Amino acid sequence: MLSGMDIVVCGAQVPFMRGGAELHMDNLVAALNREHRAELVRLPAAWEKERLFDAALAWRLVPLDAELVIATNFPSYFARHPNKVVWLFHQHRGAYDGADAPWSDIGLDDDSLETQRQLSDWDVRALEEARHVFTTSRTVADRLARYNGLTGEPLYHPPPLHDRLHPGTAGDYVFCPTRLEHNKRPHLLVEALAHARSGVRAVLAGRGTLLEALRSEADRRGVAARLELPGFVPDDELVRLYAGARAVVYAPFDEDYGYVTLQAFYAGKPVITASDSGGVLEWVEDGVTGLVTDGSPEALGAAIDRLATDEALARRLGDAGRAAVADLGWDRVISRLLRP
Amino acid sequence: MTGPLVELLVSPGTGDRLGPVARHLSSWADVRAPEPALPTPRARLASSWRAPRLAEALADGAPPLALWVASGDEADAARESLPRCAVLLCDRDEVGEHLRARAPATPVIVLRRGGLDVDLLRPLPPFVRARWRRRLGLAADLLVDVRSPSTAISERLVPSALAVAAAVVVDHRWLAHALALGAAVVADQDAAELEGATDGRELVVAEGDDAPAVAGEVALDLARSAALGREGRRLVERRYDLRSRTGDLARRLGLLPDHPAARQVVVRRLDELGTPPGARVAARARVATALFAQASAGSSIACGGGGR
Repeated sequence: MLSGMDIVVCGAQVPFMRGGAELHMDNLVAALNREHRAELVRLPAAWEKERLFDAALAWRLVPLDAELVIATNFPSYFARHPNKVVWLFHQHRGAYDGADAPWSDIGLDDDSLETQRQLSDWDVRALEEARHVFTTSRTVADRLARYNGLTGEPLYHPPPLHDRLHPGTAGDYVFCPTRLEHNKRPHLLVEALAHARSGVRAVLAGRGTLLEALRSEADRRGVAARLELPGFVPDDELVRLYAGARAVVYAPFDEDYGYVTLQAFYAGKPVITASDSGGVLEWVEDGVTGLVTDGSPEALGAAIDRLATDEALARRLGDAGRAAVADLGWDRVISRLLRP
Repeated sequence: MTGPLVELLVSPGTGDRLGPVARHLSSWADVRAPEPALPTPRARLASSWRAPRLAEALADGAPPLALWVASGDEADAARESLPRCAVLLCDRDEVGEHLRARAPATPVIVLRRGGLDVDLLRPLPPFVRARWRRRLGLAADLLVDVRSPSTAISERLVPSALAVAAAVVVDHRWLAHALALGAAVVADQDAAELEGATDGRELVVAEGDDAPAVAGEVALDLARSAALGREGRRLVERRYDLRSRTGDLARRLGLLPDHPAARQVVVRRLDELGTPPGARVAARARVATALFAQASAGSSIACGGGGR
């Protein structure tokens, strides 16, 4: 591996938003800085179709004087550099697999269809420039192949807090740390709880626009006493909640990667998920490292009961999850990204 | 005026030769027919050796001239003029060879057209095609076979069908068109060879009655369809793209600035991504750089330069 390089990491910025992508970029820069000089460069992006291409064009014009550029998410991979590597977190999903979703402004009108066509064409050209395209997961690589006919190599990395998470007692609650937004489907846990017969408790931690709706739903379904909604929890508390859980429930829709799954494994906890949860399924193997359900509240409730009433099973699956992430590490990631 | 002046010299009945070239050249220059009030042009473009004022255009000290030569016979007729031109243009390889033999020191650019203008045909990947089929109420797995005589759709509708089908079976007449549209293409070996396409990379080769079934298999595999469409489009761009070859022409005619203005770099970046002239982002870029329009006047629209 080359050492002492000047490396620019490129990422999109959505002002006032901070989530998994931002953590990923920060951790990548920190890992690079152990042996190199790395800086994170971000440009604001907009997602509505009227302004979708503005930031992409802006990236084409930004002078990036570095030996290597590592681009991450849309539209940062439009950065123009003779030594560009892409580690693709995601494309603009609202114009690809998310088209027609309530949160997307892409429909079947002329303007939408031309936006999709042009975006695909632009994406292909910008990604083809790269020396190599990695993806954060097999799920992202599959989308790239299906929508753009391009090949991406999955490159897995450790989640935030991986060095602090640890196994603990198999407690009497299931844990779900997530943003409380529609694509994460936090309501599934509330509904599943109503179907669980074991009386198990649940902690649903995180911020989001659905907090009050979830509280109301818990009341309506008579599970409010068994559901804790603490909102945002700081890192120390997050580590403690993982360690003390019986299992982790995480069933988002078609997740790119899903830090929650990996964090659960680092904490030695099995993960209960759904068959349409995307990147989560690259790690959760039914009956081996967790339980994969059809995503219905009834099936999720049954899975929760199964682990709540069988501590040995929960431990066995959790141990297997912990073993599955044993080889993950930033050194390997950096070595792969920088290989000429 | 948006750039250096290029004067068109057109003889009767030959205007269509220069149409697409002039359109693309207008990205770099202000292309005009001769007018008395206009200043001396930076370069000239002639549609044939019979073009008016050609002798004046070939005089010592005249601006560089690009001359279109349509055939070997024309090359023979114009043999005295060929070495005095800055660039020779034609649309077929064999004419190009003829010109190189007649005027070895003069650059020749082959602007192969193949009956299509790649710049006007935009590639549609499989998922966008699927959405168009939904929008139009067409079958989700629509396959189109346009080989003669099995074609069930009228010739007029073939371009639209090639743009929305999940996969297409074509003969040599429609192969380049289908590839330009990014379709998942099935064609026979002869047609593939004619366009320089490779089985499994830009298209799938199948013969006769087997072709529709093969197309059906290709259509089911979205990743394969997308990869074929992407490679097919690139092949056609390499063979027929007037945009890049016209850029070469502009360079040889001395139309490119040494230091392009910022506004022109934007145009160049949009070109790199294959942006249609009417795209919203192009209009937004024009608005965003309108402030600099005055400073850019008199210099050409950029191609080349601009740093990495």
